[in-house]
Amino acid sequence: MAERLRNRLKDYRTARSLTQADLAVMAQVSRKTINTIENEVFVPSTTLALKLAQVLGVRVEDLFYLEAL
Amino acid sequence: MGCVMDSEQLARRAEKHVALRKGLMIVNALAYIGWIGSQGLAQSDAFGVPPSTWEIVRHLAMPVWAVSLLLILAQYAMLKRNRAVAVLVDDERSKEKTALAFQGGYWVLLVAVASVYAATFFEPDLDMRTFMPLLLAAGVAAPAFTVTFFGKD
Repeated sequence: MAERLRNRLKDYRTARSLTQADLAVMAQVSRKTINTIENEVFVPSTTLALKLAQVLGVRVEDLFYLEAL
Repeated sequence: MGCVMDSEQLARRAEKHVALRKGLMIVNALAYIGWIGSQGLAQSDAFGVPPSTWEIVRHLAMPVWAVSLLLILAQYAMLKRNRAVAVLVDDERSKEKTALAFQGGYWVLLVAVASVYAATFFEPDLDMRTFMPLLLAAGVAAPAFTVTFFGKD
């Protein structure tokens, strides 16, 4: 069964009143990287996924999930 | 609020560095094509242009290539000293794009070499002194073009 990686990055980011620039600086990536992850254009590495979860104070499974196509 | 301002400034500064690097890479690639490519074209009367004109192109393009390369290296050195900006410029997405660009350069060079090889079946007297510099220029410049023009999201 085919699956697609989805994420709730934008939801968690806005819930913490963070801009894309804030999250980018906290995770040490470019603003465009945050933007492309939120728009599900770019799939981050495990390291970056864990880092994003860490800076947002959530579990990586809460941030990223698989959705059946 | 102060934190937000700092993040915004850092992000903007990083984006300016990315734009500057892209511009320098394009200038560097075009100058390299002009410099090395004109060496090859000077061996023939391609496009009806006399070899002396290609020599002028070569002598004009070489300093542009050298200066743009120095500026690219200077930017790397500048970013080395400013880690907060550097991590925003060279993150994992940009590294992935760079790797794809080099793969693109490899394929451009491979297709160009195969095309020249195929052309020798129809024109056995192809002068390699003309084509080798053009092939070299295509292979070296292709990554700069792919990362700049196809790296947009």
